Amino acid sequence: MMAYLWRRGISVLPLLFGITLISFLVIHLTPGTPTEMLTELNPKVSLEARQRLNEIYGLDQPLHVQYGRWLKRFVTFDFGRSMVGDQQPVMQKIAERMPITLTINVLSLLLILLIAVPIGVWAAARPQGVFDQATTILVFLGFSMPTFWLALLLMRWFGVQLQWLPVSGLHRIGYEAMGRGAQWVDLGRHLLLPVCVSAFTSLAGISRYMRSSMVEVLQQDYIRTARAKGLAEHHVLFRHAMRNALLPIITILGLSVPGLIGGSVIFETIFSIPGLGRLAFESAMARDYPMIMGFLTIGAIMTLIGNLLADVAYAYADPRIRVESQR
Amino acid sequence: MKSAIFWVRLGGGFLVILAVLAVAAPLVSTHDPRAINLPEALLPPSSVHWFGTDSLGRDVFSRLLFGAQISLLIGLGAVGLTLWIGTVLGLLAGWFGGWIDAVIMRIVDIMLCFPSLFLLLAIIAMVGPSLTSIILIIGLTGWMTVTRLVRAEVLSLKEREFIQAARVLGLRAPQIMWRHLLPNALAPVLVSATLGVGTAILIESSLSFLGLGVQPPVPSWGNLLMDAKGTLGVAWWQTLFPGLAILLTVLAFTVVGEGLRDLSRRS
Amino acid sequence: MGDTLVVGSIGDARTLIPILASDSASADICGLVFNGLVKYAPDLTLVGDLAERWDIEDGGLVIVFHLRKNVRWHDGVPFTARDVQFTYDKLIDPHVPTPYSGDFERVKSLTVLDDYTVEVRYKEPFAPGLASWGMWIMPRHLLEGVDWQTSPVARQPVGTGPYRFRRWKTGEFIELVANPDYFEHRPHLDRYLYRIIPDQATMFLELSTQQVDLSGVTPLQYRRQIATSFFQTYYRPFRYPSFGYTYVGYNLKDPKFADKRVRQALNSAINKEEIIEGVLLGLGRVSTGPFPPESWAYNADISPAPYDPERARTLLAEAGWRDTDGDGWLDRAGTRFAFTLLTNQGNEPRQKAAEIIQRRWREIGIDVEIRVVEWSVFIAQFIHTKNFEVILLGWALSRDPDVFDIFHSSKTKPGEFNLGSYQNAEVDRLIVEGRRTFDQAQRTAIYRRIHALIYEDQPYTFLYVPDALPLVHARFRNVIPSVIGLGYNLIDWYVPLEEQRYSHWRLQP
Repeated sequence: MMAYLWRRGISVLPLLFGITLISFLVIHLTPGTPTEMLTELNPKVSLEARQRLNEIYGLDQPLHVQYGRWLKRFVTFDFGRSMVGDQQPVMQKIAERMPITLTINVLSLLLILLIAVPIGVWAAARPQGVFDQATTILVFLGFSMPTFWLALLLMRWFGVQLQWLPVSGLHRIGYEAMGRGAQWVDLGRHLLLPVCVSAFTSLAGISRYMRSSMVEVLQQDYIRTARAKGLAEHHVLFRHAMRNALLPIITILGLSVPGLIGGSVIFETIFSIPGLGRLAFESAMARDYPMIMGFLTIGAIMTLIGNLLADVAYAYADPRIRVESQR
Repeated sequence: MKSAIFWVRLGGGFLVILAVLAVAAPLVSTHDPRAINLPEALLPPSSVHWFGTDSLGRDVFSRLLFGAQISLLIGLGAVGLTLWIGTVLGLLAGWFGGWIDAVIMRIVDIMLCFPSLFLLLAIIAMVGPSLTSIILIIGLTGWMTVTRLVRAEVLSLKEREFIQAARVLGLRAPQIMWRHLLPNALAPVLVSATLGVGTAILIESSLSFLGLGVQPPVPSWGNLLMDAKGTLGVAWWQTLFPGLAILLTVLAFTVVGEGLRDLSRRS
Repeated sequence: MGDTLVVGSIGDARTLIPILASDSASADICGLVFNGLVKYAPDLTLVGDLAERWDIEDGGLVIVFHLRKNVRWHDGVPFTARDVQFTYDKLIDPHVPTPYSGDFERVKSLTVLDDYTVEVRYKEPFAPGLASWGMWIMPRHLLEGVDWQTSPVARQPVGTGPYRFRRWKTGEFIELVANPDYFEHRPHLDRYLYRIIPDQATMFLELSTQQVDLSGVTPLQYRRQIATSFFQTYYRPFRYPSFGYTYVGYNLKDPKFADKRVRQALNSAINKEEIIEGVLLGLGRVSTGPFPPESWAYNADISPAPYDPERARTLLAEAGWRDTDGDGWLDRAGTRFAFTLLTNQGNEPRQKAAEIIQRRWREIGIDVEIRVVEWSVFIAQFIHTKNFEVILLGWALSRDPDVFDIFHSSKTKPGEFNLGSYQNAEVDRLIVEGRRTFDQAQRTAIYRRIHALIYEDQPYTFLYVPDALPLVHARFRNVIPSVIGLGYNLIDWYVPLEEQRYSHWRLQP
């Protein structure tokens, strides 16, 4: 098992190298440079000033030199500084926005699990029944709706017309003057809409998977035995079936690890949330090379870790593989 | 109690009607979708303008119909691309195995690590936001799943008797792939493709939000929705109809796809 | 005394080091935290800010600034002429990525005569130079010898201005508090909160719940959505022309557009009122020249050519464009009159304007296609390489009417701003003259002549000057719109005690 993990871990390195190389090439081949963006067609900025900027950022060096420089820093975990604005270190800018993106994604995931798992279980218990059909349509609705459409409608409804929830942002004005408890409540109120919208639109995936996994499990022999033994239905469902049906879900969870630090730029723009999605998009639009490389690399690492976790979880959960490696 | 067939029929029926309307858009629409008519801007639905008008006075109903052409084109085009790339690569990887398989799967892994956002911007920057570039992007970021599916099917089919028989009989690889493997691998691929069209339409609307989708004056459902964002409190019809159109269409594709999945499982 | 002004902004600031700030959000904040030597009064004359007065000597070659005494930086250190010297040194420093160096490179030398006197000597008389000293002055004692990248000062600015920096939560808000020692007088409003709300639709929803006090609205929102009793009770709308214009630019190197008559024809074929009605809902005005209509440089005698498609056709026919084969499109020597109208993505009014223009040009037989390109690609692939036929763009103008960078024939290298390669010897001469003349009456005459010549030549078809449409919460008093905008007298705004919304905060030193 450990050997397997080790081998997998090592094989990741050339992959990572390949990804960073390709990313670097792609973004440098894309038309537009950060200095053009910085100076933004401002007549006050002369040609010389722009050329000067290019030199300052080392953008006039040949590509392989630039890549070499980046790689050298990368090995020491230094992603360099953002070329935009106040030139904070890339890691710092990402770290600043990571908590809120992570929070929303984790909360959303929890909400999804909380709803999708029971839905999947119950629906599988009575396939094609009313509950099954109704919830299926419901989750498909969530999947089929453009997020920003739903978000704006809900913001209007709950924020402006009913005035139950704040419209956007993370804190109300003057929140520092509130007590600790009140601050948490306030954050909660601000996160309610974003998390719900995020969860609702992503319900379909896990709930359908849960359902189909559950359906398969319910057809197994040992379930029939349990029923034949006269066990109560919910006992059968929850104690026996669900446990086994959950295994593939764990695989999915592993694969959604990279998604946890991914933000949706549209979502964050509408809700005025200072998250990683907006940062990634703005960096891409501004051709902020160090920032983009930072994102792509971290994204790649997270995906690879996620895959690894999923494989491990699957191997661990599947008794056949476990038994094999113990021999 | 409604069966899977029922849903497939319902969804499929809706899509057929939609396709017919889209193709017949020039005949069915009541106005020229590009006709700017400023005095008639932002009128609510009426007998003249069934779905109202937008901020430049253009008829929403007609734009919706022509937008259906675009959105369906994008969906089918993008999925067509993913099917093409994915099937070819999946067949190659599954059949030949060895280093071909390793290389292809490595490429798949690498592609999966890329957030589509950056690829999207890179391609749009190089080619310009247009019908072609959107189809390209969605296509180039979605083939990985198909490859994996096809490869898995090929791997399991390879060991089956009829394939062994074909080999023994001396059939060459391409023939085997074309006549035997492909038809059998098609089922899960079809499901994935159907769902993929729905996803492609949603991606198009997201791209329009970011201003990177099909550009006006060409109407697409995505950019109709974007136009509507600016008139949110004033013209409910501008938001409702494109939004519903996207919703119902994607829903239909999803329902059909899932229904096909249920059906194929049973057989 | 008291209360807070909550301002909504679509973009976040990028840096708070003033000479590096080129985007509007950073400029908004720097404008409250820092001062320049001079500033603009509501009537567009220059008055002293950090400089009490100044003397222009030697026919404009020398400006001597006499600085205010008793001005302190927000950390208590006195402001002196050495801060001015420091700022100037950094502006011309090749290692500093400031976009503003252009104007300051005309300076031959800057000498500190004493703690409160600075002498600036120019290489040759440079009229826009005085206005360029509206540039924000930076604190030498905090920024000299310090690596700006690692120093916290980039995100915690210390200035001399009416508001002191308090906090910046990236992507969320920037908070400023009143400077009790401000040299004019302490601002009445205790706090200034700059909220970042990236989406215009969300911004309007926030206005609808009174969570934003000041924000711009779109023409549609202005016309249709603020007539409700809610908005009429709680907000006051303002409307004044913005300082910039939108135009159609022709590439004069392209043989299709080399003939002046063609450009004039294209001008006559556009119905500008229609665009202003349709796109801006009437909230803008027609422009005929490269200056804002309220500027002293604007030549009001030039009346815009009326919408006249017949005249357009006649002019085009004179230039050789006729529909000889009856297919509905104009042609000349066998080629159809067709081109692409290019504009940038992300600007909805421009795209709408482009569509309206396309329709009118097609009506007179020109096959126009619209292409919308992402901004950075636009600049890199089309603008800097002059690889375009017709563009639809806008300029945001500085207050001084010097148009050297945009219309002088020497500024046509790639990366420079005479995008269409316009060349007119008389205009060139006048532009250079205008820069060297300090006499206001003479300058006025010069620029008005430039305006007339440019309109005749039509290197641009000037479309419109849009109105700025800010909405301000009704509780604020002393809000007086002027040609230079709304916030010039921010320190005089106040809210009567009983109407204050955020007065439960205590101002911390």
